[in-house]
Amino acid sequence: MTAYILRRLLLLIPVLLVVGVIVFTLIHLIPGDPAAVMLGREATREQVEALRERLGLNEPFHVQFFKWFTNVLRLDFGNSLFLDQPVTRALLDRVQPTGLLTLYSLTLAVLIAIPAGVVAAVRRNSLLDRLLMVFSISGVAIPNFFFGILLILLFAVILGWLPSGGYVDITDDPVEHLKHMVMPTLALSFSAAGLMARLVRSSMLDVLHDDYVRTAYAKGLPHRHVILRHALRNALIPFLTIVGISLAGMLGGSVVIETVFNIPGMGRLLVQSVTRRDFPVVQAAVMVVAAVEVLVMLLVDILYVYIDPRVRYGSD
Amino acid sequence: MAHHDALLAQMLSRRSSRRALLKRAAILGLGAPALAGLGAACRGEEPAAPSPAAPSASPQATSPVAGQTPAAGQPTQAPTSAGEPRRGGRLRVATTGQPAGLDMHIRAQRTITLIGWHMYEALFTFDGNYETVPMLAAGYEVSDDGLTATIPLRRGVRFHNGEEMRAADVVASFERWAEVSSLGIAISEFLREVVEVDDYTVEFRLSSPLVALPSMLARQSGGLSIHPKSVLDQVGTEPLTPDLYIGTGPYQLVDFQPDRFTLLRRFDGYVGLDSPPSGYAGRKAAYLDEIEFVPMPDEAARVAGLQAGDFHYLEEIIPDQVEAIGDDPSLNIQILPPRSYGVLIMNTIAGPMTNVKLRQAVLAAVDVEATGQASHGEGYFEPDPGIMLPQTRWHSTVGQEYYDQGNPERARQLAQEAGYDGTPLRILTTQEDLGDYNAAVVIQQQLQQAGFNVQLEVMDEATLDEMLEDDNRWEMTTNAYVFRPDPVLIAAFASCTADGGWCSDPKVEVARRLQTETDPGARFTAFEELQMLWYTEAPAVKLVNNLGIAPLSAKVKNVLETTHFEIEPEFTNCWLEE
Repeated sequence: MTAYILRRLLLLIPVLLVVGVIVFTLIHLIPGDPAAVMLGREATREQVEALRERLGLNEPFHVQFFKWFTNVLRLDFGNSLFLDQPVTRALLDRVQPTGLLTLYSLTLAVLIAIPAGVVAAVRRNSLLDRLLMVFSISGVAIPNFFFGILLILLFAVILGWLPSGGYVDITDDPVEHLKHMVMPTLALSFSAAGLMARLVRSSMLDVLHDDYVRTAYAKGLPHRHVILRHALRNALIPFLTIVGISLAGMLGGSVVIETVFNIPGMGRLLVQSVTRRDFPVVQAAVMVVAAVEVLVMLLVDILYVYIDPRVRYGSD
Repeated sequence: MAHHDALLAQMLSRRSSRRALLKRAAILGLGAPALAGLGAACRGEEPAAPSPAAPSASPQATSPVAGQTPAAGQPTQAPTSAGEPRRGGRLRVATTGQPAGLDMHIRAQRTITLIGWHMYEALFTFDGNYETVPMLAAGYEVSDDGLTATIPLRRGVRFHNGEEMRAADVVASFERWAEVSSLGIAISEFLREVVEVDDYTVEFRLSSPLVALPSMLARQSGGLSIHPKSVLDQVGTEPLTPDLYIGTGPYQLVDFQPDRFTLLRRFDGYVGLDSPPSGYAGRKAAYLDEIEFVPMPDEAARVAGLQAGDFHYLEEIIPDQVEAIGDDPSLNIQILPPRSYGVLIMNTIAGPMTNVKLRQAVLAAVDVEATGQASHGEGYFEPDPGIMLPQTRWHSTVGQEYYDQGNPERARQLAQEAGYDGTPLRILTTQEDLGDYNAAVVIQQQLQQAGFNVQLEVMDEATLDEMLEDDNRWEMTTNAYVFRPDPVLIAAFASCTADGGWCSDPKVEVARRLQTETDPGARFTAFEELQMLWYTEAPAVKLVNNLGIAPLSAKVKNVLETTHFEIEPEFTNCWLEE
């Protein structure tokens, strides 16, 4: 198992380099001049040219690439063109909002999806089942940015219960932090919860008809025990894969949600950096997201072992 | 007349929104200048209250600078209904995005202008009538030959780092600004040297008279903000870093967190003027403890934040959102005099539009009112032939026969005379500015009706900026010229390097006179010649004036009465209601 994990971690390096090279190439191929964006339309061509020179944007593509690549190997992602600060610092400043938003959303989605899916499966075709499935389909169907704006209208504009947006650091004021994170968490978790609930329901329906469940009932085990200990545990294996995929989806979704709720996270930074043509930030942010994806999928693979004893990796 | 009196009374009582007023005024047939006059009448004096800012400066002259006579007298002052000032609170402003630093010399962006002029001050500024008046300067004298401009400085003015502002700081600020800003570069053409006569006097030695010098040194986007020499010595022409954002303004930087917020706090050592607030001039009473600027790129979220009470002012709001908000008593949405006007810029450097006849054909084809309807909607624009906005003393209707022609037949004839062979004409635009985009769509249709082969190329702002740098990749583009109180401050008029590259011999000669003539009447004549050249050489098509919108919370008091909005508002002299 340890060898497997180490092998997967080592594989991360070529994956990230390939991602980095692709992003570097693409972002430099698309039109758009960071110097012109920074100086605005009133700048003279001489000013734009001078800034391009200062930022090193006039160097040939292969020279820029070589510099960037050798620096990345030393874990130096360079300086943000727009923010005028090291990219690493810019990313680290934004890890907490995105990390916590994703964590809260994933937790909430799981907490909603498992009970909803189990209840829907156990009470198949009942009114409750139908209501829960309407909820889950709505979650999948409604775009999260639209849901977010509806939440703002209801809870911030009409009721005035929650702030319309912004972010408060958890170490500064935990209560305000949670108040600011309620709506973004709801908006981001809604679609994931819907998808997961549907999957838990179908997985549960599969296992509820398996022989071992029938055997458990025949042994006289209580209904609750059979559902939670026998059926649910087996139903969670495909669910775990969806959790991993949902986490990736949430990182993507945070791009929109952070913009709607004005959360200074990685997602918003990425979008704005593309608009500003802040090449170093875009390159590094995409690599970080790719690394998180790979690590999450590795974590999911490891968790399989603990949930399903039949799963073995490598020589273990 | 009774209608007019009632209208004026309403304006002064401030019970009616300016939007409603504009609509009613239009019905009554009041022209734009009349409305501008009313707008000036509406701006009242700040309530009599001692400035909370620490040591009061000795009274300083704020009379218009030499060579610039007020057109409409001193700012009208009327009592306000804002109530007693209240000290304290944090004003929260939602901006359209994160500024690329707050170094005003290097970057001339709108958000930097909004934030920066709370921290920095200029030698001169613009009063309630948009006349140039001293701010950090104590006056302005020009030698008889016009080649030496002497600027005495106010004494006792402190920077946020505690240093006193002296001539050496002004010289250092000017020298850096002249090297890195487009306006500074423009001034350099007229300049031999800037010298520090003594600690409180600076002398500009010119190679030819430059009557517009005070206006060029005044508060504006990308203007000359004054910083300590000790700070500028550290950075040279590199951008200032947040720890070096130091000026003499009534607010100082406390925290600058990109993409999160910029927080300013009252500068207790501020030494301001004692004269009544007037436009951007006069007393700056810092009633607010703090001002926080939060970047919020999403329009809907910005508006929801204002409605929810999370923000007190939005840097920008589109007319559609104003209509959607409706009459919310917690908000104070005001329609203001125009802040900019739309233009269809033509490429006079390369390609088919170098043919003046073809440009005239485009000018003949465009129906500007339709572009206003599409880009702003009824009540948010005004057709106007003037290439200087009506609230300035430069407004003129010269050449109006060429404005808003909407005449496809004449356009077709002119295009034929130009030898137009159906070559595709590319209009570049971006949906990141919906006003520009909508205007471009309408113009494309109008030109097609007149027989032109027009391609609309839509791209993001960054791509557009790059495309415009290459003269072979475009024929036309839509943009807006923002408010400037003096025509020499508009790059397209004063230089040959603005987008489109308008640069004929007559234009250069007229622009030169506009910059150097000392007689105000002769300057205005030169400006009218420039406006006529604008219409006959047709480097661009003037579209409609875009009315300003001030999206304020009703809790903000006394702001509309004491500041302009054209070059972004200043939140001094205003306060927050509890």
